[in-house]
Amino acid sequence: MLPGPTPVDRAFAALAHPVRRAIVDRLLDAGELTVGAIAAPYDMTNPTISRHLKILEKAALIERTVVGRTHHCRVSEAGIDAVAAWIRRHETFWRGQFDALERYLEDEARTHDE
Amino acid sequence: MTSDGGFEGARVRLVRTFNTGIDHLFACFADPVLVARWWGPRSMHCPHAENDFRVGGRYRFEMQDDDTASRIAVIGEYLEIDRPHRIVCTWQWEGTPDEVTRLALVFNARGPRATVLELTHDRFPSTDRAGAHEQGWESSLDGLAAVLAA
Repeated sequence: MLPGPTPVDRAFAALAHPVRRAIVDRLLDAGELTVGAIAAPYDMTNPTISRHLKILEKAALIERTVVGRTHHCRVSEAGIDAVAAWIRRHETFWRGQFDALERYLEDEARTHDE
Repeated sequence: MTSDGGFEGARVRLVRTFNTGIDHLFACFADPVLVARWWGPRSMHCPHAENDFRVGGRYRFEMQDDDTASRIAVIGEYLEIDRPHRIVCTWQWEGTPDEVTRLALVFNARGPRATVLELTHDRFPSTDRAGAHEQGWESSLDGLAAVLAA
C-alpha cells in the first residue's frame, strides 16, 4: 500500500473549498455545463476557475470532454459515490448514537421519577 | 450526500435536541463513566471508556456487539474544549491510522431540561486550513493575472 492520500482523501480535500462544492452541486443539478457556464457567476479569473476544475478532475469528481474548443464538464459518478458512501456510513452511525443517547436519557429520567 | 442535501457540506451534520440540561449533556460526552452507559448504537454496548479530558489529551471508547462479541474502538485527541459548549477532537477507528477525521460537538442550552447538540464530522482535521490555503493561493493568482494584463 503506497503512502499518501487515497482517492477518497483527494475527493474530500477537493470538496473542502466552498467554490468547488458549489461547482459540484451545480453539475449535479445541470448534468453538464461548459467551463464558460461554470465560470459565469463568479468574479474570478480564468486561471482560478481552471485551477478549481483541475483539482476536481484530479480528485475524480468531475470529467471533461472537449468538443471543438468548448470544454464540457460533468460529475463523475464513481468519485461522487465514494464521498457519498463515507458520509452516509457516518451519518447512519451518528444517528444510531443519538438514538442511544436519547434512550439512556429517557431511562435515567424515568428512574429519577420513580 | 449530507443531511443538508447536496455537497454544500461534504461532511456529516446532525442537530438534535436532548431532554436534559447542558451540563449533563456535555458530561455524557466528557465523563467516561457516563459515556460507557450509553455509547454504542442499538445491539452494541460500551465495555470500556477512558479519556484524559483536556486539550492534547486522548480518549478511547470501545464498542462491543451484543451478539457476536466483536469489538471495535475509536480513539482520538481533544483539539478544543470549552465546557459546557464545545468539544472538538480527532476521530479514528482503532487500526486505521490513515483515516483520521474531525468531530465537533456544539452544545446550546434551550432550558433546564433541553439542550441542542450540533454534531459535525468531516473527513479532514485540517479542513479549515485547506480552505484558507486555497483562498490565499487564489488571491495570489488573481494578483498575478492583474499584473500581466496591465
